[in-house]
Amino acid sequence: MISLKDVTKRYGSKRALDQVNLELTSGKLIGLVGENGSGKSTTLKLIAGLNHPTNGEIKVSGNKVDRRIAQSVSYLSELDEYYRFFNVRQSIAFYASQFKDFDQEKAYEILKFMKLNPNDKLKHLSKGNRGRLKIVLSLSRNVPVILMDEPFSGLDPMVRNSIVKGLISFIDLEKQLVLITTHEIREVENILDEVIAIKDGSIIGHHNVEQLREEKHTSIVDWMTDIYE
Amino acid sequence: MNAWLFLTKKEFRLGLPSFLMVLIFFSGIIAGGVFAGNQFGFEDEFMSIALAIVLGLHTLFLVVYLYYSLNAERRRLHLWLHTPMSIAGLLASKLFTGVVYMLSTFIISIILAIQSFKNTFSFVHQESLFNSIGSTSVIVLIAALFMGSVFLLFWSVYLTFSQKWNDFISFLLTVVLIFVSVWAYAGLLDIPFLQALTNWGAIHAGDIFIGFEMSYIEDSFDIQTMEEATVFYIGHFVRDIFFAVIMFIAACWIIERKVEV
Repeated sequence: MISLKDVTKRYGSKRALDQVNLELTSGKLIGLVGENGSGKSTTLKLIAGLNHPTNGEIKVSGNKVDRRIAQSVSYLSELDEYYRFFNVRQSIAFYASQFKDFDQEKAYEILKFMKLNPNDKLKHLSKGNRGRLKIVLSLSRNVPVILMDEPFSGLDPMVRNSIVKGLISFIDLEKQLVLITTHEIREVENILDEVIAIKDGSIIGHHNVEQLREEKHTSIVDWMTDIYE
Repeated sequence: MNAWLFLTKKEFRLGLPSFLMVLIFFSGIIAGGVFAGNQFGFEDEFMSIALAIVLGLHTLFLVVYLYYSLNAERRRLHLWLHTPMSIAGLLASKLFTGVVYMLSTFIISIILAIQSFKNTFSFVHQESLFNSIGSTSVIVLIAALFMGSVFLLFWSVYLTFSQKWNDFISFLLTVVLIFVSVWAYAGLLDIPFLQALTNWGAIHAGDIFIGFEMSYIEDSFDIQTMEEATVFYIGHFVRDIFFAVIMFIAACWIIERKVEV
């Protein structure tokens, strides 16, 4: 589904990713974890075709990635920037017009779950509600790959857990691959199938979460703490 | 097509503040002309000068509009570029909305200018006046499109530079590149072969009013209008449109291949 072969990304003299090799298969919810500046966001942008690898090759569903891969990849950015003159309903309509696979019915279903008012102007939404809208817009696309960069960062800790659990019901785990970067590892731990740890631009671990629990008797947080130390 | 129309609708919303700013600025110039005319007792003359300035400033309309619109997108490139649509489609949408906004003020300005010029320059042949306004309109609109394409190209270059260097250095490098390009382009236009290639399709625009000639005869001033037989070449317009298209394609290529989020 997604393959990265010897992918290196440099920003000037800084190496953001170094010879990364990854094979990710569909039907999984995968967490990409690591400290700030480790290369998580860069990895997602490269898969979304919004950045170009310095070396190596990235493929999604067998197709070499460029910006137009957006037709089969839904990307949620960590940035909090939107067209603020739209209201929630207009944002959904705009996305529906731009992406053929956008499911408006699903969007309003998730919107209801997120307790967002379709008539609210984006410029009047709180940061948390803008974060919820980002999730609505990215999950409403029926695409094989969904990339979410820090989707829970603006959400209240009180509701974060229920939103994380609710997300599962809006993902087609038979057909879709969801790759999430997050710092809220404890909250997402229970929904992840695989976890990938990245440090200084290199993959330092890639595990099945169930196996990690059963064979190594450890949680993702403890495993991460171990390998980071 | 539906996606492009929705995108264009969004562009109208995004670019509306810049259109309103330009509209207020143009209104200010005309109001200034009216005010100065009232002060000095030359209402029509000052109004004509103000409208001539407004018409001339339309050459920069697209540059101002695209600057505002593209700068707004720069903050959210992850949204703007995350689409299956081609870069040509994205930029064409911005150009289209800019042209629509520009034409809306240009047409009003032209109507006002015709009325005002007729009052001010009543001694000028009406045919000459219409030739002047007609040719000015074509030149201004083609110049605006050309400048818009130049801006798109150098904005994409600036964006590429700004990924490696800070905004100030990127700006300086882009300005240097603009000067070098203008110098090279001017040199290119001087090549006899290119001139031979583009001096075709002559349009005889007739006499165009170009100014006044004053002479002092027997204790009195004699003022004559100066008119000149003018020839436009369709080849020159085709050349400008050709280079504008080349710059547009180059801007698309740079954004597609070099710009990152």
